[in-house]
Amino acid sequence: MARNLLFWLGIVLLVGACLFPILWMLNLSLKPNELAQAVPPAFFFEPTFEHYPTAWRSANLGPLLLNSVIVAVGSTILVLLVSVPAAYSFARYETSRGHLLFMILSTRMMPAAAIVVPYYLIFRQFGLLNTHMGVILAHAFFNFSFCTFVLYGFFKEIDPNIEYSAMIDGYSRPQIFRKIIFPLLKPPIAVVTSFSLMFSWNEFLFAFVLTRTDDSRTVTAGIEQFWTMTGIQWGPMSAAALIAIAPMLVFSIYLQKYIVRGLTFGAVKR
Amino acid sequence: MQARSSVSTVPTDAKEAMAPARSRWSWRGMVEDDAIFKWLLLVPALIFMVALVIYPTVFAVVTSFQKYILPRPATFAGLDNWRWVVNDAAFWSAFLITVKFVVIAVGVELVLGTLIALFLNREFRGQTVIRGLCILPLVAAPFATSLAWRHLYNSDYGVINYVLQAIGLPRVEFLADSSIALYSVIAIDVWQWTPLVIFVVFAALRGLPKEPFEAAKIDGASAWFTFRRLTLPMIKPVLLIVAMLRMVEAFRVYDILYGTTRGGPGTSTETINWLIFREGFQYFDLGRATAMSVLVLLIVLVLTNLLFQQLIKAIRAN
Repeated sequence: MARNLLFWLGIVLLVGACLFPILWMLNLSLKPNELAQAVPPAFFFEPTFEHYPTAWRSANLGPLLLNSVIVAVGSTILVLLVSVPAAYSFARYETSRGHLLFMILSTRMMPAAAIVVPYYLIFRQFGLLNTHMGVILAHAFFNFSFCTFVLYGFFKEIDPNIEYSAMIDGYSRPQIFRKIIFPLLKPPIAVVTSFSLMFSWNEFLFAFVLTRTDDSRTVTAGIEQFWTMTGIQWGPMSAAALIAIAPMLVFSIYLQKYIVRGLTFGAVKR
Repeated sequence: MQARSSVSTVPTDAKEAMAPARSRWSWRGMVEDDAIFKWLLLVPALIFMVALVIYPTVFAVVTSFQKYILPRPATFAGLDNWRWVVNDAAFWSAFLITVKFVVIAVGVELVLGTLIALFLNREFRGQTVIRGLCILPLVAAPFATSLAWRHLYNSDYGVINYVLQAIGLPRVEFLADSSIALYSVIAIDVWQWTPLVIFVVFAALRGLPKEPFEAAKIDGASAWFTFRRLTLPMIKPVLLIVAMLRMVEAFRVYDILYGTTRGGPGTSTETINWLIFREGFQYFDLGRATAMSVLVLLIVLVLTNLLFQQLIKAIRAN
């Protein structure tokens, strides 16, 4: 019994630690301005909802959210178009005997800082600064190695004999893809898609450096504008930050199993 | 295309039977020929690699040999930037701070995550919900959550100092004291990423065979002994992989610095990422910034290569 109590105490501590900063953000977003920096901190108070409309209007959150959606979806589609065929080629034919695969995987090791300056210069040259396309390309670059890795592991597990016997039965290559491979692809695509969307939504550095305007900046980078010369506007900023992270928090409930599967892919399977 | 039109009058199944006769270089012929098809599949990936990896890297190397301070045009500068970077105390100090950040953050995350995973590794009511809540730090944008941490850490109105005072401890300048700020930032990283370790180790624990543990129990082995001699060796490959993943990610920490200390106080939390960002986008000295970038890239590639070899060795040994 005492042991059981101790266990639940541990759980409460764990969940509390995980949630507290996010709940505190909620607390700040509902606090009247005069209480934002109160000493001692106010835990209970008459909540105000004024910060949400303020944040929405002054930070132009509508367009920023739309940018985030366009960038996240765009980079995910792009990365799928590139990594699905590549992973298949590596898994089925061992193309280039693993050298190219290793090279792709090692792009993950490139430090963001080492890439951001050349990206900025190149994108400036090609007129890609302050465009969705610029951020889409940068985010796709980051997701490329992970997606290829996960899909490669998945394709490795499909028995090639299924394809061979289909070929003997007179299926053409496009037919094999349409009728055999694509239907099997759903779970790994779900894993890769959820990771790619999440990464892109949460990414800050590239979105911040490559865009300056409200027509191109993502919502995560957009929160920064509440940081004014005179200080931080805690109420509106917390409201904006919560609006920015809310889609991912909700998304994680639905996609928890895919996220967990993605986290443990390769590490645990086999 | 010629081959295709020549068989267009033949019924479908006959067409397939004639496949080998098709020209190898027609579209259909290339798709059906393994030797060509496997490279055809890689065309998008190769374009992608050239455009987004190789070209920027070459570009960075070239720029690192130029005097290039925006908005003035670039001029050739030989080894000037390189000489400057290699002799720059700020660069090496930032490098050490980054290493310190990575080692401490990843170390704490691994130990803490493993302990929590062991703690959670049982059946209890509401386990799915509890695990779902623990994943939240991982899915929330780090820049957004770091702002909440900034408020919590504040020395005047922050909740953490309020609690410290309430239990009779002295006030701590979490972000303003240069000997503490780095650890405060590390704590945010630990808060955010420990769930990753928890989930990976947890999945590994669930996948372990039952028999050795039952045998250990019958033999009366202590919990510590079971952990040291059974659990730890069995989850070691997984721990190594997650350590590797985390180290790579921790190396590029930026968001939470921007949200909290911005490299300060002084240069006490100035990581490599931060330094390059400052050089490139505040001083606009792109020659120096790219020289730093290339140097960092080289260092990271060497380090990860060494780690990779260790990892592969360790996994093979298992």
